[in-house]
Amino acid sequence: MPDREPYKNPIELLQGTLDLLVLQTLTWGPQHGYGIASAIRAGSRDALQVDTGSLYPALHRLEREGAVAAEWKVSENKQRVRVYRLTAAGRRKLTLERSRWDRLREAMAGILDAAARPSEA
Amino acid sequence: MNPFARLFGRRRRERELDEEIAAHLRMAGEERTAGGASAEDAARSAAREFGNVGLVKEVTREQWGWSTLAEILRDARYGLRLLRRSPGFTAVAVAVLALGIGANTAIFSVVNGVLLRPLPFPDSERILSLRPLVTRPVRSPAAASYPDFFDWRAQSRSFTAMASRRGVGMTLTGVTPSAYVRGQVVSSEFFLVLGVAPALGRGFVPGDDAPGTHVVVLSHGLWQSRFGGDPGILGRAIGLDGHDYTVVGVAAAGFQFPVDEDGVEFWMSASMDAEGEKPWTSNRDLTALDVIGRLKPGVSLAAARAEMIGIAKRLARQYPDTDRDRDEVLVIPELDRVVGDVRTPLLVLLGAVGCVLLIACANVANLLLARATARHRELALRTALGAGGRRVLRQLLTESLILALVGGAAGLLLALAGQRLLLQFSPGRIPRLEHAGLDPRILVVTLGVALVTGILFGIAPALRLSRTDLSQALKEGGRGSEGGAGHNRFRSMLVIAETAIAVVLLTGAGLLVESFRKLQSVDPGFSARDVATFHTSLPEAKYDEARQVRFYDDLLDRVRSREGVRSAAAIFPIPLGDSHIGITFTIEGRPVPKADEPSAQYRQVSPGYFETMGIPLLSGRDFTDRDDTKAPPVIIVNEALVRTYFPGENVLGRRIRPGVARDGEPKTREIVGVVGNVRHRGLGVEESPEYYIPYRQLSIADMTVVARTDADPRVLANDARAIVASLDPDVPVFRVRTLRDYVFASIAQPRFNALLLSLFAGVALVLTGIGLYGVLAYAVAVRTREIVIRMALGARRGDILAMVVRRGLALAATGVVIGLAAALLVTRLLRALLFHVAPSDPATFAGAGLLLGAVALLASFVPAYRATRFEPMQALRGE
Repeated sequence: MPDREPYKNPIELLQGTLDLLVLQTLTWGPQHGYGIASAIRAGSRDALQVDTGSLYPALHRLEREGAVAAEWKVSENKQRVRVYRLTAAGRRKLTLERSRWDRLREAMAGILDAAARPSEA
Repeated sequence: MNPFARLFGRRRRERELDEEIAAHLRMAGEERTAGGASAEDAARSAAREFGNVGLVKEVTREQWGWSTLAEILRDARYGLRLLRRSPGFTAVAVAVLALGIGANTAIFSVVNGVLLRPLPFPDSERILSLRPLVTRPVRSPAAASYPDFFDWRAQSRSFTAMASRRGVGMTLTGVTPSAYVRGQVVSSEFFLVLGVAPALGRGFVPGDDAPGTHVVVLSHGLWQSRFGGDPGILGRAIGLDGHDYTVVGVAAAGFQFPVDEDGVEFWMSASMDAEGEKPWTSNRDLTALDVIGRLKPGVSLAAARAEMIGIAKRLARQYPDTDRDRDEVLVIPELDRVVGDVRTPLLVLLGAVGCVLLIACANVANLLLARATARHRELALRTALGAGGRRVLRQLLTESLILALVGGAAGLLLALAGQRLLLQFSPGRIPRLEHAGLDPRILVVTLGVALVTGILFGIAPALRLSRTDLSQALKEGGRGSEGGAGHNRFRSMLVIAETAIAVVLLTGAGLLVESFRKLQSVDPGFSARDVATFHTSLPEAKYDEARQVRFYDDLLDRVRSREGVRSAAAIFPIPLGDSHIGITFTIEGRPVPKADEPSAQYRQVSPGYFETMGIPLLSGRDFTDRDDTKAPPVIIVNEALVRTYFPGENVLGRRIRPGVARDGEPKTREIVGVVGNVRHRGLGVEESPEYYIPYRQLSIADMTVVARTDADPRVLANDARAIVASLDPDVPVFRVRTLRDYVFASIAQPRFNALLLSLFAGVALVLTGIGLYGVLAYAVAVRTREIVIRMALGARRGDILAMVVRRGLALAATGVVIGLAAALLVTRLLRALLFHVAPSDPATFAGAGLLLGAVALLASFVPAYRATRFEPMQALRGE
């Protein structure tokens, strides 16, 4: 399937990637926004700083799309927090986004490797 | 879900979002405290990491999807917040808009009340005015005679009813104090044509027109003020000029006809015109009637017009002596007749305020563009965060609309105040002006104007901004010098447009002012200084001819004996007093067919009139007390009559016979004097042939007393009533004015037009100056670096000054040239309002251009001067 998504804009690429990261994070269990951000940062060994200006819009958009569901819960330190969990639709989206990411990675790698080859020769 | 429920849903969600983000910040803070940071540092660091909370919330909210209403409200709230944050900009923009919209609302309310509002009768557009049209030597509408009216009524098929009417003034007798009341003598179909019946009693029936039937319908006002609103008035007789008239009806409150005459207090049947030895109703010579008709349903105006012209042509052939030259009929809606004279000036004023509004729009657009530069960064950020171009466009338009609506509301208040001023300064001759109030139509129009205005001045800046190149804007860091070039070109165009419109307005105003100046400097033919006047009307039943003469003799004696009165005399009708009596005459020794008899304006005067008025006696003598019925009939003519009918001849001793007599045949009169011309009809109307007849030889019940005084003529005005009452308390005194009041009233309309148009042109000039200043100040600010470098390279302050001023003048000059060209086309519309000034008067055009040039110079000089004061180091560091 040819990829018709216009990944021209670096910001959109970022958004798409963020969706993937958020959905992946939620496969380990329901989590609030701050927890998601922390998990991504920790999981990438601090390489990825999630911009809150992108995270919350992404969460709310995913909620509207039905990929995640949100409910209010009381956290371990007795705070009311909004906790997001993955829905069935979210899992499907994750699979899709993931394959898209894989293809992108392969394509990128192909180009980058090809670019590297002449210098080897 | 209805929009309101959705709105409440949003409230909750907004609270939740607040809480969610608060929790995020708290958790981030807690983690930092756990890591050993102080609570204060932790909170600060967490907040820094989070970024702009407001912006994050906003972008997040945008993901929810919006109901249109909520979205508009949100945009509006954001816009309001933004406007509050820059109060200076907001105040200026709102003030400019309020001025523009307010002026439009005020003028439109007048146009609405006067021109657009239908007459207050059922199917009023079917009520037509019918006037004979004299086609030779010039086409002009005239009054109809009773026989003509009877023929029209009998022969036409286009009307359900047709009625005649003529104005009349009578003395209300039998009640004290007696009063002069104005009324209308109408034929019996009058109320049928109007489609209304009196509120009390009945209208007229065909029998009421028969001689001997004296019936009257009173106005609501007269009924209330003089008869205490007595419902038993029906069937009672009241005295008018000493005769008894039976009241058969009382008109509804607010009933007024004709609507362009104030204070019509009664309507009487035409029976009085059918009485006497030579009744008006059988005299085709005597033209005094206005005719109204109600068009039959299904008949077009054009068909009615064609039919009436056919009838007039027949009558012209049938009665050539009287009707030969009146062979057409002017058939127009009654409303058009009423407002005919004021339509052009009002539309001109409306056009002028429209121009002011356009300039206001251009100015606010300019302000918005200037401010836009400062907002580049904000907008770029919004776009980066995912707000689409259309989203930003809508946000910007919402802001303009808010500005326009606030400006419109302020303008409405301004219009209310302006309207009051307008009424105060109005010439008093604009019919129906009392209807110029607020009504739903005005509100709708104001709202519409505000919305259109908002879009007009908002769209261009918004389009420009929403297309802003992101990276460019962010790089420029809000200075906007590159994008500013495009902006500045656009702003220059706006200023050129403003200048052009202002020039058009200035030219128009200049023409009207010049025309008014010329009008004012016209010599009326008499000296209006220090002359008191008042009018009296003798009840005919009580005063026969001899007693009329005696009354005015006594009255003039008493007035003359007052201290401070130098001379006094009586005349009818008084110059500039709106009464005109044209009477045909024959010249002895020059017989002509009756239809070719010349006509001249008729005046009746007492001896001493010319001296009192300062009218020069060119040859011959004035009338004396001996010119009475026992003496040979005499007459004095004006210069125009001599010039027209006796060019180069000595007229003294020549005899003419005006067709006027009280009883019996008109007398042939010897010309005993020639006097200077007087502008009787208006300062701008050329003199026509006139003659004066001594009142002792042909007395009349109505006369105006004129008295030249040593000092302020108002002194006598106060005494007038006492003097007349000492002679006969039954004789009413009215129109107590100075002669100067008459002159002033006659030029009030052009004065009003010139004043208002000048006012609008002034506003336009100021706004244009501000606009030009804004553009130059901005251009200078943007070019600071360039200017400083120039100076560093040796440019003198004078060079910099010249550079900026030259740019300002170049803009203004372009606008002036375009404006003058446009004015050349537009001022032609003013032709009807101009007196002795050509619509393309070169002096006025040059003046308008120069005035604008001067303002442009001033507006350019300030920013130019500022540019020369830049401190190089400071300016460069500020970059």
